[in-house]
Amino acid sequence: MRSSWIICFLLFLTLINLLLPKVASAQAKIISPNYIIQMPNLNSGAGIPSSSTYKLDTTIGQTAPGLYSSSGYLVRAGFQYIHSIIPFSFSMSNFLINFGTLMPGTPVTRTSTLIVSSGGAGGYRITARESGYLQTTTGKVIPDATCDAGTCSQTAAAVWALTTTYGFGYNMSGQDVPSDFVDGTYYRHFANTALSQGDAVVMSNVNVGRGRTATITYKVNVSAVQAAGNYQNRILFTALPSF
Amino acid sequence: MQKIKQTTKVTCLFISLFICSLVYSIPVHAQTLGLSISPPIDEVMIIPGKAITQTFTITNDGNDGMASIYIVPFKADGENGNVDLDEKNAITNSSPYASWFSLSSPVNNFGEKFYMASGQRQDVIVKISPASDAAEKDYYFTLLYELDNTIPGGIVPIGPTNQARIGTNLLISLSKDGEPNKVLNLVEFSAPTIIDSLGELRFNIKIGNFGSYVFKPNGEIVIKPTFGNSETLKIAPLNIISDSIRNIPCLENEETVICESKNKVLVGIYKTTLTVSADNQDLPQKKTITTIAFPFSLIVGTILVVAVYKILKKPKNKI
Repeated sequence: MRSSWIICFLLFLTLINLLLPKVASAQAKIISPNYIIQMPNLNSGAGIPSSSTYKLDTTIGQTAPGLYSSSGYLVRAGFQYIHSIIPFSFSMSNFLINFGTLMPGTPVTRTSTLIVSSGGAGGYRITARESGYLQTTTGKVIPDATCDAGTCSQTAAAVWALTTTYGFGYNMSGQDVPSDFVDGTYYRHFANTALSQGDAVVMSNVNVGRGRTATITYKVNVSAVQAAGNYQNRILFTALPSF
Repeated sequence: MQKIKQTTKVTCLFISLFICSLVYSIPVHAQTLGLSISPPIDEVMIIPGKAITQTFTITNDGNDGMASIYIVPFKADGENGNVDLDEKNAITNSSPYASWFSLSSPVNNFGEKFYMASGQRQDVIVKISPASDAAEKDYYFTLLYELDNTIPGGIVPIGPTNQARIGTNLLISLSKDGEPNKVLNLVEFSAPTIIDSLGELRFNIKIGNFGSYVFKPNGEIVIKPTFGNSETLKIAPLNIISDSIRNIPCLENEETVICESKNKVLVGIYKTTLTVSADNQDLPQKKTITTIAFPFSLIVGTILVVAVYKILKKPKNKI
């Protein structure tokens, strides 16, 4: 009876350990030819525990008079006024978007979830751009969507609800998304690198945030004259903290 | 006896499994992309000609992929501390700042691909050595960690493949004496002149840096009402880089918040003074503004109540 209990307990512990995500701490270092300074868990990366009691003050080189001239530098790593640890990280579900076989006049949508934790009290910004049109290896393209009235662009969303409007675009919903995405019918097309269009902001916040979440909905609709083929491109998301 | 032996074996098996799970378990994500970088900002003041080696920690919290590191100059974009990358001048062997930066881990060249397994944490070691004849001023760069996830075998997608990159900002100040002159310009400190008593007393602060070195505004807002006690708000010491203007919020419990009075009902004259200096170095600048809080909504509400009361109390004409 007692042995069975022990086995069950060990099984429980094993399962718990397998299921719980592993959390590891980071060490930021400053290395000089003469010395190395380790800064434990310095506003560190994803997975750092967010203890409200954990404090850090990391300023190297200003506490002792004359140290600047002898060391030659002064470093402040991390935001000096945020003592608790808030990592700067960006994640996205479904980095691979597969629309599958497209039928003319039948729009297909796919979604990804974007999550940002900003390490800076000054906030963050996520921008996106596509490498070029969705295209086949032979150069056939699905154009960027311009929406029902032909008015949406890489920076301005507009309604795209008609099945007779063709192209490739995206909608944003959730936290910190641009205000021109009024609802789920509003779309933009991605900034097109091949056309020298600059990155467009898809999420931003001026304040510090943890786990800010938005959903990006990709939409494609093709006409009956669209050539058959595997249409692909790449979308680059850039996550930058404020300074 | 046989049963006890069997139980012992099973117990040992589970103990082994438990230890193995502790040692070997690695989170696996399906087609997930995840990056992080630490620290999120790095401010370096250095004597021209000297060198410093900085370590940044990057992680891959998604699928396996090929990573690369870039350093790109930036300038301020807008008034909220956002970064405008100058990607055409990313650090390469031929760029003007090529000799300032060198990469020693995990690869030796910017843009060179290296493998990042799922769950991997990697130190990126960058040596910063500004030229000895470089002008004494600030230089701003972003270190970018780009990850190109591996497409699972057998999948030929019809649609886009997402890549991501994440950055950390490097604010490099070149100074021989370590005490550069910082120039703070109070561009705006404002609030509405007249507000409703049930409204909000909010302040806008814009601070400009027309000098050559980054600084943090250090100061406070003191609100003195006609009646009651004074209220003090601390302004957030956000970085204001050279040739930029930044909206400055207030700081509360280590979070940036809108600068506003906490009082729910405001009546009378409020004299508010902002006192601010650059890194506590220069003489503080002061500006005082006045706001009148008048109970418009309360008066309108009272008139409405009286009017409705009078209408209801009005004697009805007898037929």
